[in-house]
Amino acid sequence: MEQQAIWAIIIFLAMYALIISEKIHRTIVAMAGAVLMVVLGIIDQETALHHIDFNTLGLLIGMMVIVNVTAETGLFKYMAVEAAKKAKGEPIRIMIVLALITAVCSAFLDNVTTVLLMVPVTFSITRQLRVRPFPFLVTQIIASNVGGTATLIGDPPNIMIGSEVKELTFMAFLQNLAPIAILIMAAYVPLFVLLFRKQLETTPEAKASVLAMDSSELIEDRRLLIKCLTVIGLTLAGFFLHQAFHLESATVALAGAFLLLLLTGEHKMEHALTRVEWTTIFFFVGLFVAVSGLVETGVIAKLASGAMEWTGGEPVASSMLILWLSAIASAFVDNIPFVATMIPLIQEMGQMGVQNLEPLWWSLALGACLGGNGTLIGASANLIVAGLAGKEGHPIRFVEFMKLGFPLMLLSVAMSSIYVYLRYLM
Amino acid sequence: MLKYEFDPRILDIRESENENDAEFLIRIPDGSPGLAEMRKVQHHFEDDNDYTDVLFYLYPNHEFKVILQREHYADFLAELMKRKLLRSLEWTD
Repeated sequence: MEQQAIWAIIIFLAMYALIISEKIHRTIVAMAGAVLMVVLGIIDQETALHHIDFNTLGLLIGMMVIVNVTAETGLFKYMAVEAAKKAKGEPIRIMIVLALITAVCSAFLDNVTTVLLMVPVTFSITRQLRVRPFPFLVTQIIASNVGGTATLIGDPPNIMIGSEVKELTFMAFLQNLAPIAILIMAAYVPLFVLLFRKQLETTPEAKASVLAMDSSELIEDRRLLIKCLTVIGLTLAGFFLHQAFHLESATVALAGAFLLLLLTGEHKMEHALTRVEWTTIFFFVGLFVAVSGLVETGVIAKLASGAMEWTGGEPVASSMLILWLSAIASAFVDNIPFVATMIPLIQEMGQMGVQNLEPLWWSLALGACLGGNGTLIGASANLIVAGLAGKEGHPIRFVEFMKLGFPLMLLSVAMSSIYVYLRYLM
Repeated sequence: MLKYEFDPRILDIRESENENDAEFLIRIPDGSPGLAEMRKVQHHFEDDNDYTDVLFYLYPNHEFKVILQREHYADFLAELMKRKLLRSLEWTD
């Protein structure tokens, strides 16, 4: 192995060790790792910039702006309070209802957008009920990754796969991935109840206080709400149709964001832009560049090609390997650069004579999306929630999350293995 | 400690403690100008990037429950004072 590749591996492993140790903020670690990759000449600045996925960053920023403006209408608080009232103020039921809302929203908004909506109202409800927010936040993270698996626009890996493989349309994703996502959520719900029911006890007074709340007062600006809902509708329509118009998802999201700012006026712009989670955006930038060091020195391709050689192109073995490799890798390495490496590899397998690539694509999507539940750094939504929770004095520890997330991730990947085998390989 | 006075024609305040938080139950009579000002206080705290400093819960008949962390107690009362929802606010021994 070349010296450059060895340095890239050392920097990468040191970076991840520091992120896991939580001694230094992960954004600083990722950016420092990225800078080292360039300073040590492992990659040049031009290549580093080329590897930053501006489509992902644009999508995140655009949706954060839309969410920030929409949140001002009180819509999400209204939805959460109504859900809490329907759940009769019972914390465990509210946790499940909020997790299900998160899963459904994650399928049609991106995961990060969804958790950005859910986390503030979760803090509000848990404070009122005097229960720990941790179970709510963790179940929402897990639900967002499962829900995001269900559609082409739900999670960045799916967006990337859908962009590269034109025959995998929005409907194809829905028909092939939504059923297994629903089954996984159905399996998770009783497990969530078992895991957290003893931690979520409250007083009858706190429950009564939730039930007495007046949700109708929460929608404060109906004109703004109409504008926001119109733009969200147009943006979602844009996501459904973006391939037909040859537009990237970031273009759709940023167009939606700035259309909304145009409709709402300049005074909303500064506020909306200030509330973008810039620390997360820069974490992504650092991560993209750091991973590019591994990509450019051939480390990732070598690992993936070696793994492919073991299977000899046999469909069952290839699918299972892609599914499990993607899941385990996505739990520890950001799934976006990983998927970016796997897409050409699968395409090459097609050129080498593998007839039916469909199970491989679904295996990649399932592994990369569900693998995000394995650790706190496995998916962008996890990082966003952890960041907000830490800021609010309720830190989610890496190990604490992994103890719950990793076994649940393994269960979902085992279920997906059976699903892929029965549906495509039998 | 902070001592405050309010005009019952504008609003009624009941304060209690809950673990490490302070809780206020604020009732605004029908037709009181206090409602619009109370909304401004709510927006002031909800528009910042701190999601848990001061939390507002709305109940029928213009009743607000406010749960706040102890370190934001003075901030909250100062904001009520600024919006003329308090008659006086002073530090006492």
